[in-house]
Amino acid sequence: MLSITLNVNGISRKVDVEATTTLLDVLRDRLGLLGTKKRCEAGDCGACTVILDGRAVASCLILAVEADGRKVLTVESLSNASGELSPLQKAFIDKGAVQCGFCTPGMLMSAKALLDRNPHPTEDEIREAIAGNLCRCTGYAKIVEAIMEVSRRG
Amino acid sequence: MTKKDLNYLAPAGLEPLLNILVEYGEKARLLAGGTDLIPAMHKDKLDPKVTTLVSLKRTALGYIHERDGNLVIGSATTHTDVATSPLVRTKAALLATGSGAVGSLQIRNVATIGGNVCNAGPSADTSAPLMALDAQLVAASKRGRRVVPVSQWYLGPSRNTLLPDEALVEIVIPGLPPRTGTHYQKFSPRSYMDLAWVGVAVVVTLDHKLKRCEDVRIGLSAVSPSPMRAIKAEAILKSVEISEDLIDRAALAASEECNPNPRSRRVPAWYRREMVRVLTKRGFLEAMRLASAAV
Amino acid sequence: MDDEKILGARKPRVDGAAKVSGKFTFPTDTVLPGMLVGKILRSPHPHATVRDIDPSAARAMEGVFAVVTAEDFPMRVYGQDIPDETILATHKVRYIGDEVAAVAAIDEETADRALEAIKVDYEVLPALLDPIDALRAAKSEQPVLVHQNRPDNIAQEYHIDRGNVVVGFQEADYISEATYKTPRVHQAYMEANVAVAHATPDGRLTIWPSTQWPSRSREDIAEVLGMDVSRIRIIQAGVGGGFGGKFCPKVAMVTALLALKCGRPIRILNTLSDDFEAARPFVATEIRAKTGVRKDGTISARQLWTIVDNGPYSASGAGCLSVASSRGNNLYRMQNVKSDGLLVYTNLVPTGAYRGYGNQALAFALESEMDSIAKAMGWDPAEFRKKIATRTGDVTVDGWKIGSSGLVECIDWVVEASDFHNRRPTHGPIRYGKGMACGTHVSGNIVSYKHWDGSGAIIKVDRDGRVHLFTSEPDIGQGAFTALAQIAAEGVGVRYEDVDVHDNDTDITPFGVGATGSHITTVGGNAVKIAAEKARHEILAWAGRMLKLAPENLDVHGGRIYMKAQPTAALLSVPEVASDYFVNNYIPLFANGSYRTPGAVDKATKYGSPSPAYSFASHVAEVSVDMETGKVRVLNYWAAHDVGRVVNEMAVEGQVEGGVAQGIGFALTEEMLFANGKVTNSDFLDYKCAVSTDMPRIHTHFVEPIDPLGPYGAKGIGELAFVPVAAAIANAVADATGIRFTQLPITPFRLLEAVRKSRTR
Repeated sequence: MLSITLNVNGISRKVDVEATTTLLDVLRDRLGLLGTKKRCEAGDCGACTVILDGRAVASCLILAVEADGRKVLTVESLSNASGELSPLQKAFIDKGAVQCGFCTPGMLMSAKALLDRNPHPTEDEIREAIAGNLCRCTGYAKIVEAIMEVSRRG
Repeated sequence: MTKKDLNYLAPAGLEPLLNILVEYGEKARLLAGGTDLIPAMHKDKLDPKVTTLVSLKRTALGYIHERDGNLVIGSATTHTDVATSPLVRTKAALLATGSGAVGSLQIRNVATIGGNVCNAGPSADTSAPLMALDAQLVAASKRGRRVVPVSQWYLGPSRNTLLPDEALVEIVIPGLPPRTGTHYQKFSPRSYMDLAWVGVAVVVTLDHKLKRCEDVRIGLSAVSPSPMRAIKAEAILKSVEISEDLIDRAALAASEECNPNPRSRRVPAWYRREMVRVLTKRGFLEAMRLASAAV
Repeated sequence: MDDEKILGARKPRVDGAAKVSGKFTFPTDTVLPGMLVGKILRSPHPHATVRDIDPSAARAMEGVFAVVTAEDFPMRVYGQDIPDETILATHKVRYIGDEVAAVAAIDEETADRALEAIKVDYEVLPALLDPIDALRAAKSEQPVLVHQNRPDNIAQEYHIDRGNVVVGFQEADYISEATYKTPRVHQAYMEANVAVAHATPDGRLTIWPSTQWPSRSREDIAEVLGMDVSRIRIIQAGVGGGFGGKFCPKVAMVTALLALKCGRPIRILNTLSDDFEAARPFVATEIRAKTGVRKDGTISARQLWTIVDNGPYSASGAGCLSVASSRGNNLYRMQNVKSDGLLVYTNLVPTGAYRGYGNQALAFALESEMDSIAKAMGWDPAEFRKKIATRTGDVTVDGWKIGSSGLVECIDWVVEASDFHNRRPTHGPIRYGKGMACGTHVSGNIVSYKHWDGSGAIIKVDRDGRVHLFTSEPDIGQGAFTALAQIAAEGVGVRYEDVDVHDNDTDITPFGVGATGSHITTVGGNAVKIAAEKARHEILAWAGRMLKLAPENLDVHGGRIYMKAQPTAALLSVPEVASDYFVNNYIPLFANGSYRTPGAVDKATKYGSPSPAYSFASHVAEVSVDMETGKVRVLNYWAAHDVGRVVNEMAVEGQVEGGVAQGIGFALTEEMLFANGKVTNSDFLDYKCAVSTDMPRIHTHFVEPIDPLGPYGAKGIGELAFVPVAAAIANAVADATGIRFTQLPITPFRLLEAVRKSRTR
């Protein structure tokens, strides 16, 4: 067992992990942050996307020990303390970017990482930023539209 | 050895890392981005000899700079950093294209160029560009440093020339002469999140009159057990003044000298060969155009 | 705000806030205290006799709570339509992945070790990996049979014969004939198949599955376990995508066995490769289509021969066979139709439905044929289709009563919007083309389940005036709860925001057939509308009592109650009425509604009208084709749909956009590959669904004929969005290249091979 400290959504969390425990399993199974979704476990679907030190990563491909001392943001960080939704979350709802919603947390984190670096991306830049997030429901159209909308307003 | 029993070390610096490699030898597995290692672990495909994961995260091997006219990239540099580096985009644009074509942003944000080179996948996106750039790979060990030309690095699918006590520390890309254009094309069914069906990288240096190839190097990936150079095609292109016919003959030669897997269920070998022909021609024309424009 | 439009509005999803904040509890997020890990031991052979299973070593392991095999429970034979399956394999395994045993353990590692400890003695049998081989093997001297009691390796036959095709073909001025193939493809829903089950000492079994039909799951699981239906409770908040792939209750059933055996909460969670190798991907089809046309542009006869590769067990196979053998014949006017189809047993992964239930495979064949005919006859493909389009008031060749059809309007819109008759010029090796395809589908289907096609709804108006809707129609992402909430709000007379939709829970929510046959908006919606209008009636009656006014002079809208003569002067609010009702009756105001699809389908002839309403669509794809690499790109896409009255514009757009994305995959990249019966691409890297950068711009349009039987005129959308897409793309590729593709997907190497062949010809 290895003892590590993760800063998750602004709070330091100490956890004991095996060398091979993934960040995704720590978030879901140890910290109860079920918003981050588990599907392919190979980095091929993007459902588990979180932001690690400012960059979108597939948390299924990160060993928790490798994230020791680093800052992790999950979908649970997007709403404020009183539960109010961020403009990005609101745009996903208002533009119809959510259907089954299973890709949504990962999609939101990819979008947030993009907008944090590039507040006014082009449509192509948006599509490229979410190319690692599979969605089977929406055809991506309304997801792209929602991210464009935030960029326009932001 | 089950997954649970693996140990983890994160040496602070290169020297401690090399000490660990001496001590552990084949029992150690270097951990860079982990994007190949972790899925392999899930599928129980990790070498059973491995007892210990050795992280590169504290070894400060993530850097890109210029040294003596060469471009030098630390082995733990992420694909995102390679793809977006102004220096790489100026000095070796096709490598930026290659790193930028890897999987998805989530992968590129953690996967490293060294990992791509060491895992030696036949379709690795940096392999054809590095072959065409004639890159030098620097392996370090307690015994000293060893410089391996990329053409001698790959020993077959997932095999490289690295010894158990060595770590790949940096990649050195010789500066390109004037009148040089470079181009990398990845052909895959999807535009992202895909492995290359064929990768073709071309580096062309034209003569003063822009009529002949002073030098040309063509790197191919996914069409042989290891990334390869299309030596015969290069020879044809260097032989006489460039013409449409010359390019066609060279592209055909490239398609004949490659060696795609005849048993692939995904892509028939004849198709990969044909793509080598088509993309070699397109890649050469584009690299030539860039070389002319670079004057 | 009170007068805000509800129907047709772009209302946000009822579950939107929960989903964007990561708080929505998907089936894979269901965690019970002390929950054990369940795992399934699967067959490594495509076809083998199970001589012996020895679970004793596994049972003796520390941390193992239960090991079940077919010996532990009576194995009743069940099936969605054709009974040919047991929960665990008895005597024989029939595909790589067949369920042999299952374990319940304290953690994953222990479960894995327990699986390894189960010894199974197999005697390998010859495997039937292709339906044609399977038909032949049944007839050979030493027959190889998937099921001993099916001597032909045929699960079901389908035959219809209407009018007279012999005469019809004699009357034809031109006859087109070709054979079309579609491979096994996977629905590739984002969320895994999963089930949590808990058997409690009171004799009840509660299951949290991921299913497209909670009501039917309860019936099926009760039947196969030999339990009373009331002993079983199915709870489900929502599902992370289904698309026809989550009808099969296998995971829930195996979990239930373990739960009954060990008495502790337990979960089985499929890995992605489990879902590829042992869930229920879509059937592979081979359709030979022959169509005769007269010079006047009418169809004189249509004949189909369909072979559907079922795999060894028939989840949705019978439905797929029937739809793939007939549906498209109802899109245009024709009288002479003959169809013969076979559902064939093989030893490949057993199959299921996929968004259209075979309609997409048949559309690929028939809409390709329509273009081939138009080309041969020198007709405009749009005008040809329009002339014979099924129209409002028609009774189609299969007996569908068409209450409304906007097909002609759909064709007109896509022709104009896409500038259908003009092409971009060829650019080097890149050629451009446009292709059209149309489709029709049901909005509910009386033959879906025991002729039970119908739905119940309960409305509760709580003391504070909030309206709770209870339905067993599941929201698998398609927006069912949102559409039903809109219908409830409209019916009761409150704001959309005042409606809550309760999770599916068979202890509480009434029967619903489920997310199948595009049934929910129309059939489920009618039930909700009836319940809601009854609630409205009750509210007005109570308001009349409070106000001492005749209820018939009152009305309610947006939660405000007023005199019909003075709509601007609110006299009471729904919360006021609800509160008064509650304190006088001690229960909230309840109202029930139920709706049953009218009509009937004859079992022998299959003639009849199976649905209350029928939806129509016309699509146009614009593609580029690289003639040197064979790569096809979809550049633009236009889709016009007749969905009757639009309930939620944003949601129907979303359905169409998602359908187009799946259709692009079906047309160009998706295909399950096998080696010796084993799936070789069971991950999202090798099974290639379209990513964001592969998608064209999608232009959608809705024509809104008000259907007489749809709730407020609404019809279904889910499946039809996907149905014409591959055909439209194949037609666009044919337009660009002159080459007709009869096999999906149109991969770069298949295209290049065809280009080479056409050049040598």
